Amino acid sequence: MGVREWFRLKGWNKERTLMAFHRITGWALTLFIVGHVVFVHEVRDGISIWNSLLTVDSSVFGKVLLLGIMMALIFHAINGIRIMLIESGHLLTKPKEQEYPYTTWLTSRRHQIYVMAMGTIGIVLTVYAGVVIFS
Amino acid sequence: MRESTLRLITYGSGIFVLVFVIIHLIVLSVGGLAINVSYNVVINELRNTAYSTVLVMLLLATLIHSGLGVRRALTDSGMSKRSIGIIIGIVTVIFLGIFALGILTVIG
Repeated sequence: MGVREWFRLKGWNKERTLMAFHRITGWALTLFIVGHVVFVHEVRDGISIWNSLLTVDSSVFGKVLLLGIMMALIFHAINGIRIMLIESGHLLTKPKEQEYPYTTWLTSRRHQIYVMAMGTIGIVLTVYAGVVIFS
Repeated sequence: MRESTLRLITYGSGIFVLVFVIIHLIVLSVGGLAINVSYNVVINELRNTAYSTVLVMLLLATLIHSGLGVRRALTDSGMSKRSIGIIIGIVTVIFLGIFALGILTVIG
């Protein structure tokens, strides 16, 4: 097992996909927070430096980058809640005797509904973030 | 520290970050993002002790959550303990520097 295993296409399912995206968005957000703190610190160097940095921030590239970060944040937050709900047992199926065809918590109705709701909430929040950033 | 305790800290810091990031984003978006990131508004907000304290706490929780996430990813990657220790050491130094920079930004 290694990093390559996280992105192996064979044998992929919903959980593996969400985990891979959780890792990718986590790394992206970690890099962002480092850059964000360095960026905001420049406000202490005066109005001219701050305004020159804001021109990058208000460019189309800056806005698209910000929207990308918002999408990563929204996904990471909603999927993080999903992971916590799984580990606390709220998204798991009740233990019972297995009968064919076998079902797992991953394909259970409760988990499917959460993933659907997760997608819907994620799209709504992304659209709202886009409106705030581009208006 | 036990693995279960580390996981609890990851989840706790994650919830904390989520709540305070929502507050941070609402403060930034109400009235228009362009106005709220202008020089005078940012300087005034940094002078607000309560808001600045929240921002520093948010940064601390974010760095803890990120650090534990990095550790978890490295552990799952199958690297040797020595390599993981070195990388975590480097990440810790960078994060401490970022936290110090965050405090310097707030106190001016």
